[in-house]
Formats: sequence, structure tokens, C-alpha cells
Amino acid sequence: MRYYLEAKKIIDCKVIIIVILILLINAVNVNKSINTFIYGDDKRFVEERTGLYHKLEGDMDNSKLNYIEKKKNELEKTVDGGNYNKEFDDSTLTGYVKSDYNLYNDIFEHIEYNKNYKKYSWDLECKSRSNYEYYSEKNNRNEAKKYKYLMSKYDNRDIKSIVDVKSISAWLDYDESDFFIFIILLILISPIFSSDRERKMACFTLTTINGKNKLCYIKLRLVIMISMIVPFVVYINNFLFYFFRTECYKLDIPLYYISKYKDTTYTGSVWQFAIWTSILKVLAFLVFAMIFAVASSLVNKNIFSISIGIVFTIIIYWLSSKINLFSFMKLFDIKEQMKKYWSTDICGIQVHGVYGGILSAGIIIVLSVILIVFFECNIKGVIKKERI
Amino acid sequence: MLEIVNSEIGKIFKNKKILLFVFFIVVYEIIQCKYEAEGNLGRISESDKAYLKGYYKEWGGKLDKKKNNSIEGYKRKIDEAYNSDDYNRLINKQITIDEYHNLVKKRKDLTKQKHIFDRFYGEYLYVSKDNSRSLIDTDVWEYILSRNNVDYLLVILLIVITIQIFDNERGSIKSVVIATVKGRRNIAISKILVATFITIFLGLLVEIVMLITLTLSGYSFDGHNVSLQSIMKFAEINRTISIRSTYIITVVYKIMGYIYVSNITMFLYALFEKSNIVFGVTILMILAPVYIYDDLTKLMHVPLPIGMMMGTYFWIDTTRIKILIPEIIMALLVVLNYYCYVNSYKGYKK
Repeated sequence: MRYYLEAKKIIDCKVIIIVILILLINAVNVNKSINTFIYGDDKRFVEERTGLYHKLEGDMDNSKLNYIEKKKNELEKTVDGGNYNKEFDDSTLTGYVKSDYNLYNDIFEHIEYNKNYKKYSWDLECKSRSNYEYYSEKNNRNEAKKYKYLMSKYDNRDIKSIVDVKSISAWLDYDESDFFIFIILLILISPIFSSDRERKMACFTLTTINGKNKLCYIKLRLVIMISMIVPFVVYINNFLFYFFRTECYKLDIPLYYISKYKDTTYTGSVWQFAIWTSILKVLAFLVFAMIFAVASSLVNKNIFSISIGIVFTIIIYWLSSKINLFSFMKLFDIKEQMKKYWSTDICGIQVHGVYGGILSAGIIIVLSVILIVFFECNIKGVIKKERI
Repeated sequence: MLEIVNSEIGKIFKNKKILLFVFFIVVYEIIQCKYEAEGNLGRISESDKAYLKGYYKEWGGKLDKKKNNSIEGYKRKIDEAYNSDDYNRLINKQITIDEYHNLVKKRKDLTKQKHIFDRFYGEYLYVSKDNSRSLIDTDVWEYILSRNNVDYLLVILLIVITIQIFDNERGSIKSVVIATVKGRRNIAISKILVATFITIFLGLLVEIVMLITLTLSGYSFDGHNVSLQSIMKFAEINRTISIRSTYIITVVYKIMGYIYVSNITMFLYALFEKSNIVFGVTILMILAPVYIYDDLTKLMHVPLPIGMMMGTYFWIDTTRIKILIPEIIMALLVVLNYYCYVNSYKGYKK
């Protein structure tokens, strides 16, 4: 009940309208992204491509590869010769000879990647093994540990089936919603503490049984809930757009099926990767939510709490490239970081970048909570801000 | 009315947080300007700068036959000195070592200037192709007129100040204000005027700080009255306009963009009366086009303030729609804000 009342203070009709408007703009942006990335080509090209993949989907076998290779070589000879019909030709698959060649070449390269991936990952494993043995002999524990980790990750990798991964790759690459989530969190969380002081209610609530400490903890929990719910709603919304508009449903394939992730150390499936990276990004948003809450507890007007929140964000963004304590910022870029081995240095110890990010996020969250409790549960501090 | 305007301005600038924010922006502008200018303009050494200054002093301005001959003659001299085969003559014992050292000493000054004179000569060749162009040091003007990054910190400050102007009277104070002789229409107009004046003041302040920083860093602003096409970057522009006029119009458009932002904030505040929503929506209206449109040139055609704040490229592009949509929307907002606030001060409603 208390959470509901506190939430009602900050989330009223006007705020809901604005949040829906922001989600609509996000939806427009997602659709625009789908249209450019996937439907940027000719509609007929996309349909023919989808049709071909439906026929090829399933286990890798030589007959499929031979068929595609044969078609590709025939078209390559025609295109290289230069003597072909460059105008629209309905007898071709996509309407244009060059376009047909591009289609078959695309699919051929994908199948070649699938076919050669086992050898590629085996080479990576061998390199890691030899490096591990070398650094073990030299007693370099950090490097030996790193290569032992890589050995275990690249072991036993193979791509056994053909799956159209273009839309899955596009969905994983889509990161533009982060800005809209940031704005929604700024609108919802900035007035969490300062609104009470702006309306001269803070002193009044201090005299109540549930005022001071209890109220402060309720508001903190509300901040955590909002910073977890909003990003998940946006990410699920994005996924649903991709799911219904594209062929984005075979998510149980390993991540390395997508060529951009050929060097990734993540061994789970695509859907597990999506959930895991979303959780880490939610953690990064939680850090910013806590920073906005700290800014809110410093001042007695909502507008100043927003401006101070933005100033803190700019300072942290600048510091993140200089100090490892702020390496949680890289969690926003985690999909890019996970395309290869990612490590960070904490007090001279090399750890996986994800652990470094989680540790730095944890430290900042704990510090923020301590600051908020100090400012909000200290009677003299609260009264002073109201200038009574 | 003047007294009300003065007291409203006083209310804003007596607020220490706002003064601190203004100070922070001035310092940030100085640091950013110095850092960017050194990156764009400071790539040549002090001695090369001195040579360049000398060239522009002697041959700068409109070109004529005398200057052309002089420049070509100097180029020949430098090329001769640079490509001389004194060393080969020394090897072949055609000259003594003392004679060789004397020749090297004589030509040293000319050979040092080779790469900087080649740069100057390139500009001379560009200017000589068209009579309307003049030979001037275009680096500083090219830097100033090519700045198309929006000053987001200034935009945030303007939104904060605009909200603060209208947020000062809430609740019981507003009903007291309405009961006064100078309440109602006068106070509503004064607040709108104050928001506009402060926007213009801050927009000009940022430009003046930039100009002072560049002047104190040793860059000169000569040649401001020559045609814009004297700068290579603007060679394709089909307008007969001087560099000075271009800069003035750019600043006017930037300030109009800031006034547009201020009016959007006022309008949203009249609708929602909640500072967090107004702030979030205004920032969204400014930044959303940057995310939605991949191509920055398309931002010039969006009827929102972002294009106006981007500087010269907004108005100098002749493909922009001549109906002036952002300007019309801004004017409509000014009128709307007047009616919204006059009405809100007429009869106080909760």
C-alpha cells in the first residue's frame, strides 16, 4: 500500500501520457530500424531470400552447399563478363541478374562460414592452449588463467545447421532505446525526494510514525523497482516488434552462429545472451537511477534535481574513460564487448569485464544508498533544506 | 512594466545555483573553444604562423596582376632553392666546401618556408579562379562557421531558467499576485519578455566568450568583409554575402533556435505545470530527431529547434523549404504562450 501511495505521487496521468508518448517514439524508431536494416533492399529480394532460406534450413549437408555454390559460380561468370541484361528481368529470381548474384553470394558466404567454423574455433583453441602452456612455464598466472579460460570456451564448437540469422543479428545490434529509457527514468526518479520538499511536506512527514527512515527505504525500493521495470518493458516491446515483423524466432541457436560473434567467449544460446545482457544493462540503469535519487536528495526543487542529475551523468561519462571504478558504463556497450574476450584491471588483477562492470556498479549503488540515507534520514539536514 | 521585468530578472540571477550554472557554462565554453581551436587551427608551428602572417600582409586581399606576378616569382625562388643541386656540385668538386656552406646559409630561409608556402600557394590558386574571392587567412572563420554542434549545456540551462521563471509563483502566492494592480496581463507579458531577454543574453554571451577566447589565443579575424566564397569550404554556396554577414545571420538563427526552445518549454509548462515532465519532453523534442534521422542534413528540414541551433548549414542550404516552417511555428508558439499565461493569471484555478 505504501509503495502504491509513493508511486501515485510521482506517476500521475500526465506522467503516464508522456511515458506512453516516449514509448511510441521508441516504437517508431524500432520500425524505422527494421525497415532500413532488413527491408532496405528490394521487397522481392527479401521475399526470395526468405524463401531460399526456408528451403535450405535444417542440417548442413553437401548437396545444399553444392547447389548454392553452383548457382553462385554461374552468376559470377555472367557478372564478371559484363555482358548481361542490367534492366529489370522477370525471369530472374529477384528481377535483376546482379541482384541474384548478390543473393546467392550472400548465402554462400554464410554457409561457408558455418562449414569452416569448426576449424576456426579449433585453431583458436590450439592457439589458446599453446599460449597457456607458454605462460604457465613463465609463471605468468594472469595470462595463463586467461588462456585456460579461453581454451575451455572455444572447445567443441560446431555449426551443424543452416539458420537465417540476419534478423536475429539486427535485433541484438539494436541499442537506440537506451536514450529513451534514460529520459523516462529522469522524469520518474528526479522528483522522488525533492517533490516532498518542494511542497513543504518533508517536515510534516518527519513527525509521522512511517516518516524519516521507513519512508526513505520505501522510496529507495521504489527507485529500484522503476529502474528495473522500465528497461524490461522497453526491451520486451523491441523484441515483440522484431518477432512479429521479421524471422526472429529461432533463438535457441548458440550465439556463435552469428558471424559477428565468431570470437565470443559466451557459450549459451541467443535468448540466454539477450536476457543476460538485458539484466546487466538494467543494472547499469539502476546506477543512473541511484545517481538521480542522490541529486534529488540534495536539493528542494525538482528542476534543480534534474539539472544536477544531468551534470552528474556528464561527469561520470567523462570519468568512465579515465577511472576503472566507472567501468559500469561499458555494460551499456556489452553486446559489442562480448564479441571478443573482454577483461578489465581491478587493483592489478585481470578479471572478466562483466565482473569488473558489476563490481563498479555495486560500489556506486552502495555509495549512493549511503549518501541518500545520510541526507534523508538526518533531521537537521532535511529541515535546513526547507529553510525553516 | 519595466519594474516588473527588472524584479523578475533579479529573482533569477539572485539564485546562486543558476549563477553557478552560468559560470560553469562560461568556463566549459572557454575550455572547449581552446581545445577545439588548438585541434583544428594549432597544427602549424609558431614560425610557420609568422611566415603565413607575412604572406597575407604582403599579398592578402583582392588579387591583381602585380600580386600574381610577385607570388609566382616567390614560388619560383623557393622551388629553385629547394631543388638546388649544390650538394651534387660539391661531390663533383665544382664548388668548395666553404662556397657550399655559404650557399646553404643563403637558401636556408627559403627552403624552410617550402611546405608552408605550398599551402599558401594552394589557397592562392583557389582564389585566383574567381574574381569575387579574396586571399585571406580563412582558418579561424572556417572553424567558426563550421561549428554545427548544438550547445546542449546551454540548452539545459535555458530550460531550467525558463521553468524557474514560471515556477516562482505557485499556490497562494499566485492568488496574491493576481489581486495586485500590476498582476494579470502585465506580469504574464513580463515573464515571457524576461525569458526571451535572458535567452538572447546567454546566446550572445556564449558567442562573445568564444570570440574573446580565440582573440586571446592569438587568432585574428581579418578579412571579415570579403565574400564567403573566399573560404574553400563554402565554394559551392550560391549567395553573394560577406563572411561577417554570414556569421551575424548564423548567430541570429542560433539565438532564434534558443528562443524556440524557451517557447516550447513555456508552452509545455502551461500545459503540464510539472518541471520534470516539461524538462523531459523538451529534451526529447530536441534530441529525438538526432536519433531518428541518420543523416544530419535531414535535421535541417525538421520543424524543431535542432536545425536552427546547428549554425550556418541550416540557413545557407538553398534546398531548404522556403516556407520557413520552424520560424512560423516559433512565432505561433509566442502568441500561444501569451494567451496561455494571460489566461492563467486571469482567474486562478487549481
